[in-house]
Amino acid sequence: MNLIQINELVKTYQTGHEKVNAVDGISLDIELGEFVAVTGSSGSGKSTLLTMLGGLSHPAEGTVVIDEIDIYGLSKEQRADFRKEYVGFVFQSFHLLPYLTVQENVMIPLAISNLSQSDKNEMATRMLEKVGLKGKANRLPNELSGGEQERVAIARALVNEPPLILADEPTGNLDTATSNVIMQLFKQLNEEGQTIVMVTHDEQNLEFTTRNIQLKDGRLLKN
Amino acid sequence: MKLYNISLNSLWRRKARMLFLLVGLLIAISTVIILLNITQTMNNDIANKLDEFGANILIVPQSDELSLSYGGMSVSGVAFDVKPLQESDILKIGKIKNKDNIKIISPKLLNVAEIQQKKVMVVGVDFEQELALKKWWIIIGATPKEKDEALIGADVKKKLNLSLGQAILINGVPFKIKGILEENGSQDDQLVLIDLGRAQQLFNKGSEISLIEVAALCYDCPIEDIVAQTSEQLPGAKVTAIQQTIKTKMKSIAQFEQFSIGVSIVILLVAGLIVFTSMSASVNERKKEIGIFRAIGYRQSHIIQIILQEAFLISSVAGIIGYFLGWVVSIYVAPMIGADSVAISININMISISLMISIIIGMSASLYPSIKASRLDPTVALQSL
Ligand SMILES: Nc1ncnc2c1ncn2[C@@H]1O[C@H](COP(=O)(O)OP(=O)(O)O)[C@@H](O)[C@H]1O
Ligand SMILES: [Mg+2]
Repeated sequence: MNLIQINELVKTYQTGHEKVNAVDGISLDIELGEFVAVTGSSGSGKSTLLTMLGGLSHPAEGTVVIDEIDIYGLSKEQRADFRKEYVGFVFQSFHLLPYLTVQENVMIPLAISNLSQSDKNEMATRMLEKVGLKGKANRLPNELSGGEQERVAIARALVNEPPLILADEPTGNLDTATSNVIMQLFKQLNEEGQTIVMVTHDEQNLEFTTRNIQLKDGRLLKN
Repeated sequence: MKLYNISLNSLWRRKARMLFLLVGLLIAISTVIILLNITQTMNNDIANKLDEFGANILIVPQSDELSLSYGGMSVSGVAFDVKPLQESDILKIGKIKNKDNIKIISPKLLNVAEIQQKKVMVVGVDFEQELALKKWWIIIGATPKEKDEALIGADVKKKLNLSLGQAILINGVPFKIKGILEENGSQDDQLVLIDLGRAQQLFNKGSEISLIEVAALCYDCPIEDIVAQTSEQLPGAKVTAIQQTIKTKMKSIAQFEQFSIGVSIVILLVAGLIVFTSMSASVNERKKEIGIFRAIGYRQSHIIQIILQEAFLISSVAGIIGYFLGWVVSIYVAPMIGADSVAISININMISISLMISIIIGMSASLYPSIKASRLDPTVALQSL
């Protein structure tokens, strides 16, 4: 079953008086339960494609349909609600809030929901356990290593149990050993049924994924 | 965890960030509180000190012949064809509409008498009222209590070579000098004061009085109203308002009040600007953070809520601390400008006013920056995504 349908997607950036098509007519289907790697050289449009997939950036042309919702047919605020329900983002530089503890960072997506405090705590604790950070719930992010911070970011993306995880070079700031541990975690999540789309430049990571998409100059080179 | 936990932690774990804003707001609020406290205290103080300013209304018998002058003291006994005031007139003054504004009524009987072959002005007074009116008098010895006791002015003591406790004869009747007035340069130095009733007996005046001095205070009605009401009650008397220092003082308080309002408005506008610039700067610094919230699925209204909650927390703290800071400073400043008769106490109404002003300024100056923050493009904010 198709979770994502991308049709003739174009994103144009204006730099000076030059127009650049960062994504230049991509069509693509992604099925439920896939673990997709998006590769390609720097500037090939990987991040741009990912933000459009996540409903963060409006395309110039084309459509993104997720779970039968045309997400750019929604209003801005509806798209925010959509992100809350459907998408968990994991960023390369972790993007944790420095003034919240590990537990609180994981609970950010829950702060705007009506669940009870105890439910929220329970969900966050379960996710921290899943990513192997059980004992560090009350630390602040700057007291953790890079690999641990990335796990917090993953737990935060998962806590809402969204159907789709979007990760942009999640291992880009990590050493090879830590990188492998994180990829192992993603693989395990995928085996439990989680759909993941991950931008990566690291060839080694491809052994963990189920599918590889390669971009060049904003177009599909290999699918 | 709720949105306010995010606001609270953001402030609590990054205190330095908002310190400038907090201090700016705090100084503004406490300055306004100081000005408010001081104007209020000055008003209360003048009410307390009213009697220190002496009489402001003088009542004398109507006369076509002479202008009766208390200052010149050439007064009563000389005038003829005059219907003198009676003690019953005192009660009539107590019946006017603004009777609550009348604080002191001091009747006097003036006569010239002979002591040791010298002519002296002898004044019959109600000592209690007279002393309330002449707060500045310094008495050596004591105030007369008995009918045959007298209080004499410094000049009388010198010229007649008298001393405390000495017995004197006034028109041949014996009196004892109970107290001596310290020299104050006024006509009081020349007087001998005795009990009003005793004086009426001594000079065969029945229940006559020569003049009445009245001290009245009215904030919201002019003294002329009280004068007019008294004239109505006493058709045979001439009632005049005496120009007085209290009037000038009340006018200067009113001017200070206007000045305070003006200064407060300027200060609060500046505080609003400080809040606006620091909030805008803070939003700029937090672009990435706002991008994270938006990526996670926070609505624009959630972003506005987070920032306005922070503004609310800071301005509440500034409002409360600002009040107490202002209160402490007012306690030191008020006596310096002469308002020393009133204790400045903690006032719940003032705390609420302080809190409200602070919150209104803090929130309204943060509104635009928060809306701007909510409209940031999350992809620009997450450049490294
Ligand atoms: N906000 C932007 N403004 C202008 N140009 C941009 C912006 N974001 C990306 N680009 C351009 O679009 C192209 C694709 O960028 P990106 O999607 O970040 O590539 P990748 O993630 O594969 O390195 C690049 O040429 C980049 O310079
Ligand atoms: Mg990129």
